[in-house]
Amino acid sequence: MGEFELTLSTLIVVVLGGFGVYLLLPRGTNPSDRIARIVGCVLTTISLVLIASNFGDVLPNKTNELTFYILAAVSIVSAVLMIASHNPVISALWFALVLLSNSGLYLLQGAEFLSAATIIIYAGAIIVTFLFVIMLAQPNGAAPYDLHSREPLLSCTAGVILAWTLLGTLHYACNEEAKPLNQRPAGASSAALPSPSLVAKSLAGHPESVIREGKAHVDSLGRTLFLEHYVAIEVVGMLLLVAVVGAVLIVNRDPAKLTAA
Amino acid sequence: MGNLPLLNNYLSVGAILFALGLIGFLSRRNLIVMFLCAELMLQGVSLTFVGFSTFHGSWGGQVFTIFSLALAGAEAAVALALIVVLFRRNETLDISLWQDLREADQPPVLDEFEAAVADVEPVYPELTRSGLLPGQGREPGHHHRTIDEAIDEQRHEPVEVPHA
Amino acid sequence: MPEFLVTLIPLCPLLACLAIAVLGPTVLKEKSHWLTILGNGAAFVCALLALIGLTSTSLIPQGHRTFELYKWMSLPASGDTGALDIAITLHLDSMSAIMLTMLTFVATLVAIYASSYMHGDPGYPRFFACVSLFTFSMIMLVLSGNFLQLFMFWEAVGLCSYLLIGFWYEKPSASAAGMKAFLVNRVGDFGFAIGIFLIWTTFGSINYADTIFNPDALAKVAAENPGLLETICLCLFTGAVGKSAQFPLHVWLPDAMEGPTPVSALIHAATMVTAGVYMVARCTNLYMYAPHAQLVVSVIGGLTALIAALIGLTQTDLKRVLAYSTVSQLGYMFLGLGTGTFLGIGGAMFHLVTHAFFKALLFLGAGSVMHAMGGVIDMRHFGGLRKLMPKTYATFLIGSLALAGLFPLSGFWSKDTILASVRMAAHPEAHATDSHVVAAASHDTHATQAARVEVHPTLSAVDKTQVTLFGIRATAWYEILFWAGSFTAFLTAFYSFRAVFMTFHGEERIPPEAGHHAHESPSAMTTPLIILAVGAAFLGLALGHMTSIFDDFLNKTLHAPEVHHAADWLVIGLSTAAAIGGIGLAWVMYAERSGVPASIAQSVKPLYRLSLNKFYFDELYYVFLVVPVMCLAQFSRFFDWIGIDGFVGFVSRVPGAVAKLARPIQNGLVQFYALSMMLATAMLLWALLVRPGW
Repeated sequence: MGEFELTLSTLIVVVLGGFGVYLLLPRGTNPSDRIARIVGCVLTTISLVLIASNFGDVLPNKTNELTFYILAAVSIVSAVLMIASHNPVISALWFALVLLSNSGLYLLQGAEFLSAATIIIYAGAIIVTFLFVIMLAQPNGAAPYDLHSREPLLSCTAGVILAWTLLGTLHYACNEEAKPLNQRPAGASSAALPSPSLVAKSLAGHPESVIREGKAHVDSLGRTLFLEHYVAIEVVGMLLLVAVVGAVLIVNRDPAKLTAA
Repeated sequence: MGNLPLLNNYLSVGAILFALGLIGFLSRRNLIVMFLCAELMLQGVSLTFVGFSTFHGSWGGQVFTIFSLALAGAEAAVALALIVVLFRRNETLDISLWQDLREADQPPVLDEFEAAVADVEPVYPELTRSGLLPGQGREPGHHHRTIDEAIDEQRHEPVEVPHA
Repeated sequence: MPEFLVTLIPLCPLLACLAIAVLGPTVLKEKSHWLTILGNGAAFVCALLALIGLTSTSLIPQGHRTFELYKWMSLPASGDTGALDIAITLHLDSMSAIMLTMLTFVATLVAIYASSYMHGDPGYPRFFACVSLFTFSMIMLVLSGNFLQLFMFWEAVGLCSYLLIGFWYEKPSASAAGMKAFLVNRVGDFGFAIGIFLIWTTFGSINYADTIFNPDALAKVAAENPGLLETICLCLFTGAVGKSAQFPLHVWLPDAMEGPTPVSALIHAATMVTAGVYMVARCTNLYMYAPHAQLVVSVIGGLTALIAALIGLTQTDLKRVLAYSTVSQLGYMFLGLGTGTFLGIGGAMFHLVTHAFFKALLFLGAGSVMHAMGGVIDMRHFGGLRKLMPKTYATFLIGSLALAGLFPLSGFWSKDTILASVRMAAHPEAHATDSHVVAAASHDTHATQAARVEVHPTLSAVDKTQVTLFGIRATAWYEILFWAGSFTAFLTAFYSFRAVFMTFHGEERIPPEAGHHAHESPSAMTTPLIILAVGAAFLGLALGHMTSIFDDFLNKTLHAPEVHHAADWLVIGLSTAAAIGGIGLAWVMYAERSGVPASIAQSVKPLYRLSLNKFYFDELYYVFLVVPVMCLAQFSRFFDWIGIDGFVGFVSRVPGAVAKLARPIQNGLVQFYALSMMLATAMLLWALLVRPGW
């Protein structure tokens, strides 16, 4: 029954957050919306704090722990504001903030290359392209379709169900893993997470895939990429080329010219 | 090998980002915002991958994330091009307008907001009138009626001119 | 080469039919009749040669020959069913030879007549192809050596009859008449088929040789189960009732007059309708063991003769008068057949032959009148044609006299024999020497025949005087039937001369349809009339009881111990008086156009109306048979429509209805699809991850 309570508490927390997000979602330019937004902010914050209170005190030092909490909070709050924003430009900017904090989180986990790549490619290139298109395709003033959400309650319910499933599972699995082996219910946790030793065994055949401390990070990642995944790299390169050619072709197809032809 | 509570923290953040992206994708109408939300979901997944990568001490998760980064770039290129084309078609980014692939006999889905918009009488732009009446050649010393004059003449007559 | 000769008889018309069918519409066209005349003529010559061959004892000593053309099917015995061996055979004996000769002779004459009568018809080749096909089928029917072949060609002649009644198929009444003939015959053929099935299950074979020509088998079955033979005979007689238009299935024949007149003469007077008579005569050996069935045959025959004659009194359509007359005369034949004496059966067969002559003559004469009158056949619209059409008048008169049974024309001899046989059956004690039951053996020598009687003494003791029907003894029935037959003879004379006087006597009247070219028919039509008239006049005198040629020849098949009988002067006097009385009454009433018939009709109006409306048989059948069947058909239609189609439609609509429920899901909204996907994913996650922990 302990597990059930755990899942139920997760549900309550998630529902709280979901309702907050629901209140934050754009629903017209009603004056009473301001109150709803404030309430939404409060609810979401409470929910986030509750979730954070479940996080374990696990980081090696306090600076890192604090950094994680700040980055995670910025990331989630920016994400909430991104989906709640009336203006797509602002949405894109919030998304840039999500990306920045995410690269911070990558850095915290020792993924330096990925952190840099995210900032350069995502925040630098993709978001800029987004903004470019938004500027190109944005009618004057706030568009009515940006002020109204489609079925916000239904969407939030769906999101809550998903979040409950994921977080509840995580919670449960984490608790189970923390227990000694003889206290676990049969077949419960191994279905949720493979044990690290099992993964290490499976990695034994791929020596390049194992992260070794002390070796140059990018050097190691590059070896892995180009020694083990060279086919995939080639395929992705080709894909990018095709995407670029396709994009050019699509945009250049002028409907007026088409009808004239 | 790995720190399980740490992994749990990252996975939780990733799951929340994914759920938020889903909510945004389901509820927002703007094509671009929807696309941003999809990217947000990708970010949640990337975070999860990196978390597992660290936990297992393997490059696999990070390599996967790099690939998804490249895919996101390709996707963005094609999708934004499509959005531009769609916007050129009818000057709007509202996803609700693109319901053409529904069953032939189904009415389009309209929520309360769209129903309200549909009720409003459309306002057509008033064009500035200028130039000669069609069919009149220019001859020196002859006063040519302009379209403005012709319409003004008609306004004085009891015949009602249609608005548009 | 008797086999080759006999094979040629059906082969000639068959080849003619095939040739006309293939070449007729494109090559032969208006010359199609030559092939039919040639085919029928050749068949006649062969049949005549076969007939002559049978008379000489040296050529065919045993008096009959059976040729197997080929084995049709041979099924081994399995389980309850016995073996079935069926071959296409040709069985020639004196009875079939008589039929063949008469048939091919009349068919040839009718073909000659039709070549002129049908001239200019768009379906000219089709007509002659059908006539040839009919001749072939009828020959095969007559020659068949087993019951299945008999049945097959029985149906084939029915088909030809259908095709020729509905020859002018654009005419609704003609196609309806063809359909009626076909449907009414189905009723009879149903019984006929059951009879054949019974024969097979009883005897284990359907060959004549194993059944009706095998006295031992017959005697064995009769000793074990006499009721079974009665049933078989009644079933077979049902077929004869349908084919020979006997009461109560006589209704199709008058309507069959919608066909061309040569067809009426050939098929519906001379040949096809006598197939039933021939079949019952063929099965004489079988009927000998079924006294009840014989009595039924006689009663139905006598009843039909009387009813048809009564209806014929008031009909105004010349061809219909003749049609009812045919029905009536066929009734006479069955009356004779049912007596079960050689006198009756021989009389019936003789009447069959003479009737073929004078009735074909009358029909062809009526066709000649119709031809001249521009298609008008209602006797009220013309009259006094004897000066205009002298040849037709003379031959028609001879035919009518023969039909009326006036001495010494052929009808007198044959009808007289039948009436005498009926009177003999009514008073068996007075004719003790004559009342010999015809021996039920044809293949045996007299010695074994005698032995058979000794082995089964009870059979010879089948005393018909003890047989009763509806509680009335057989002798009483035959007494009634004799007087009814005599009265019918009077009626026959009356209505046939009513037709003669109305058509040919009185002041000359020609309907406007005839135009100005009303004239005697061409010689191609009158020559057959004259030939038939000669036959109708002298056949009885030449072959009848004066010379006894016919009886002696027929007895080669029937093997009766005693064929001669003393003249029955009461019958002769009675029938002559009836004939003269009928003609005289007709003269008084119709020789000059007068008000006498109308006033008589007025005084007995209900009877008159009854006769005029053919005893309301069609109406009765309509109410009691057609209407219920139509109701059933309507019900079936509605059941099919609502029940079956409805169910099928319902089944087909189920997927549609389900799809209609599911269709709003396909609304074209990307977000809705994403939502569905996500909910399904969440459900899967739940099932996989969360539930095991609980």
